[in-house]
Amino acid sequence: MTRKTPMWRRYLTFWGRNIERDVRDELEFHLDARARELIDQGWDPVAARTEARRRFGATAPIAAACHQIDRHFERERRVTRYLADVVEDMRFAWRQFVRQPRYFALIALTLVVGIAASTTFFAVVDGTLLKPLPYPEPDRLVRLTTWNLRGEYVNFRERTRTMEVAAYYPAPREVTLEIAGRPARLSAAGVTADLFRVLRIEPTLGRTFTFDEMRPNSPGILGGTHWRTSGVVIVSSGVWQEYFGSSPRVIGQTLLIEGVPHTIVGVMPPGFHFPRRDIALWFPHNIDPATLWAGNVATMIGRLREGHTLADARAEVRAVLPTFRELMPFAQYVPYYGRDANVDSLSESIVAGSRRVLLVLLAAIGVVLLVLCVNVANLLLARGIAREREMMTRAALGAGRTRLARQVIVENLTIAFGSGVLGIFLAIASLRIVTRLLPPDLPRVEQVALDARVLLFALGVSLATGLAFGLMPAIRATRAGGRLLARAAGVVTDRRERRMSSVLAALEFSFAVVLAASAVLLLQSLWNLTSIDPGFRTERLVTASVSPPGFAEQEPTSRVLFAQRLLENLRAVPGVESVALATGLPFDAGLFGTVFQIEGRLGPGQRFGTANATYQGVTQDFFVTIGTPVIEGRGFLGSDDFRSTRVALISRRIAREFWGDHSPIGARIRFTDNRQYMIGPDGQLPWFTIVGVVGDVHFATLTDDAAMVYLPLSQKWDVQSLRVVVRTSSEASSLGGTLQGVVSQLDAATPVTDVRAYASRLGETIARPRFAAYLLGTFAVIAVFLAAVGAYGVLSHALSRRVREIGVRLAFGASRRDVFALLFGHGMRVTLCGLLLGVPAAIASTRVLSSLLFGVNPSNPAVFAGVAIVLLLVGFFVSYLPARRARSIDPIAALRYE
Amino acid sequence: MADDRLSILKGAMDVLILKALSWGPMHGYGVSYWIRHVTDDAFDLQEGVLYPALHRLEAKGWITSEWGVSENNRRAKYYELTTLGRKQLRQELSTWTKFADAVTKVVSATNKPAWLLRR
Repeated sequence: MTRKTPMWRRYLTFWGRNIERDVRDELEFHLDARARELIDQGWDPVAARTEARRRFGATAPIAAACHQIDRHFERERRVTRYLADVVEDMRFAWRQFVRQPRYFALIALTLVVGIAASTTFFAVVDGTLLKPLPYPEPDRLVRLTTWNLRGEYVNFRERTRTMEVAAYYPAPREVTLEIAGRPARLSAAGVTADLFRVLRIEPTLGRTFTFDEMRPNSPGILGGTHWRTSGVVIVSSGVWQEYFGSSPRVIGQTLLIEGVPHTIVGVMPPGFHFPRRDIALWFPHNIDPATLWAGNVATMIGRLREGHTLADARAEVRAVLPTFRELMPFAQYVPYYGRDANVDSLSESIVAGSRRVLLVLLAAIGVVLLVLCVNVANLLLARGIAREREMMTRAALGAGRTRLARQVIVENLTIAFGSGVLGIFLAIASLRIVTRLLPPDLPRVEQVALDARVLLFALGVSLATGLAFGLMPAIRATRAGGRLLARAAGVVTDRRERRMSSVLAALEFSFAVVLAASAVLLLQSLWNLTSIDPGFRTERLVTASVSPPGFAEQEPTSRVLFAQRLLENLRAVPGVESVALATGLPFDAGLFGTVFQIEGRLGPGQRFGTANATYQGVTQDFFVTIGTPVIEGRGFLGSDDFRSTRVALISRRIAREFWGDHSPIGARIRFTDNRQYMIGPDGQLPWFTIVGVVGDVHFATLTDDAAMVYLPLSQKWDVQSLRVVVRTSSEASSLGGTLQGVVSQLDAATPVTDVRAYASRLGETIARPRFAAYLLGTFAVIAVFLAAVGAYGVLSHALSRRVREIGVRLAFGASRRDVFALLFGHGMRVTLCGLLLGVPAAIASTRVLSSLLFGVNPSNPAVFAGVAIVLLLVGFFVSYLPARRARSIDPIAALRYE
Repeated sequence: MADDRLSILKGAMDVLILKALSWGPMHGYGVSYWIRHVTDDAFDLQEGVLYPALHRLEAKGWITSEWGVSENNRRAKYYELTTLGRKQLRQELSTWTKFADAVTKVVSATNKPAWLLRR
């Protein structure tokens, strides 16, 4: 295609730059010619000149007008020309791609994968860490770290000047309700009336709670005294849609929750799920003046008032909190109350646990991207060398340095953006998979989405990689002119280029070492985690929740009766080897912390004379069923019921800590935290006699302290729902339907939920480390692979450039061994340099991982040695192949080469 | 007074320049000379006014310019019609002719308007 070059482009360089001079010359020419014309008509030369000027008019404004027009024109022209050039460059780039499809496909593939991977994980990190909370002015929201007592909330609400305070029940729980005639279980949270206002969230329909509604007037239906409600409920947008068809008449309708009618007063907007993403119902948090100082059931958040900072709020809370001691009925037990109170940013406190994992992953992505850039840069560099002739020709034909550089950059950006677009599509697909693999306990997972921010990131990454890997070839292109001279003078040298690409390959190796070492550490840590003994046998163990409506409010006798009949019926089910009931199960909901005192050890030597433990009520076959041994004393018996002496079992861990080599059997303990409803008829906290010691069972994570206290189910007061644990006789038996059948025989309104094999429950607890380890492992494999490809590319390219040299060497008597050593040595030098750089970098950077590791020393020399050896082998392999090819070069053919 | 004429002639100026250049490449002085001689100096313009108009037409892409050597061996800027300019000239010429005809008819009209006759 031939296009006529516009005239202005030809003289642009000498005309465009001197607008003032050109205009002056032009006008001067006119005046001279006019004067000459007048002279020819017989005017006196001096008079002619004056007359010419008079007829012309004032030159200054005319010149100024011309300048203005020309400058504007010039600018416009420059832009047009630039765009035309860029389009031309892109067209040229496209022709290049078409000419070498395989080469460019390789580059594009590398980039697509890299951009997709980084975009996907940026979306995860952005959604969970970086994006602000979905409430107005999220920066002003704070979380208070106190004892979470309702009394604290009530007093803060009246006294804080720096912020508005609200509270919620920290452990959302499931409630049984009847919607459209069938039982359902939904997660509910108790919130104070001001919570929605503090979050600045308005209901879609209806209203929020009033302060009056926080004084319960209906029977406590949600289990335990903390969960009395006043018969009103707010539902989530999801419930409204699913069960009420988004009907506006939902307000005022009645829901039967735990058998108690509740009036729906409001519907929250879609996407509102405070404090957890499964919450579907909100109750007014019970602030009964009688129980203000019992139970750590009021986690507080706040919103900073105008003009106050986080530091102000912190100072105020620390000043005010200790004064609450005067209000507490048990102040003598808590001399240090209020000392470690704190106020933090809400968004930070939510993500605090997952921040490090995600940042490490983000850093890993960064490293993979770097390796990728280096790799692509190296590929382009190799091609740049091959293209040198073209560049030199262009330079010789008068293409300027910037023009050549721009051509290369436009080419690379075209590749990068093309790959970026493909990468975004791939990211959309991979994000769908990754969100499914994400650990379920990762906070704010629901906010992970491929939105405008993420797209912007993807485009930014494309641009950055395009520039990063394109810069070096571009700089080389600007030197094309200089090299032309060097070549003409016969100074042919590839040394510098070879060194540059060798350095890049070595860099890739060192990045690969860092990633591989990190991945090995995380995988090792994961291995340690999976091989921990949880304290019980999970195979063929099935669990389920049985939640009779209003169970917590029933008389202990009727609860025990229900439990006994349930157990009898379950034992009769075929395929059930052994069955037990418990108030909670390890790695499951329903386990609560407690504080206990040991009789006779309340002296000042003990820390408040108390210790922390997790406690639960279990039936007599519990330990047999889960496979935990009774080490000392006895287990629970059928005779340990609510009429008999109160007894307890403790875990070995507690026995060892408090009794050492002595036997704890016969010692007595009492629970001091939930005293409001633990106090017996005599007004005293009851003592429980330790009758046995059982094996340690981890209860929440595989790394917790396994400090456990067990009570007979029939002697535990606060039972909200029951967990069934069954050891089945065969792996395959599905008990879900059977269980519901058995329970329905007892009580048709009781749902059986959450029927699961224990093994999967356990697996979830290590979901986060597993996710991190697998991901980093994948990254490491990619990085090692890229490093290998990169090094191989450099070496085979070096070989093709040195064929002639090798031919000369061979012709002058070098042995094939020497030739082999020449190239092999080059490859191994690259590898070793990479390792020398990479190992210290890895040692330095894996330190960051130490908090993510379990039972692994982050500076374990074996790990680094192992990784170094593996990469050395990789280096050996990629050096060997081109070197072997070099050995078989025919000297005669080599000399004719090129 | 000269300003009045200028504003009237601003539109006309474009046509004059394009027409002048339709004879071939010319420098600014040549254009001004040609216009003066063809019109017998009827416009009596300040000659400098021509130049901003030339530069404006160039910016519009109707004419291009190139430095060359004049008849008496001086560096001079020559203007030349572009394809676009030629097209523009054709269009302007027909508009001008129609316009001029119409104005001529009005100016030389001898009959009174009809409604005045009725009165």
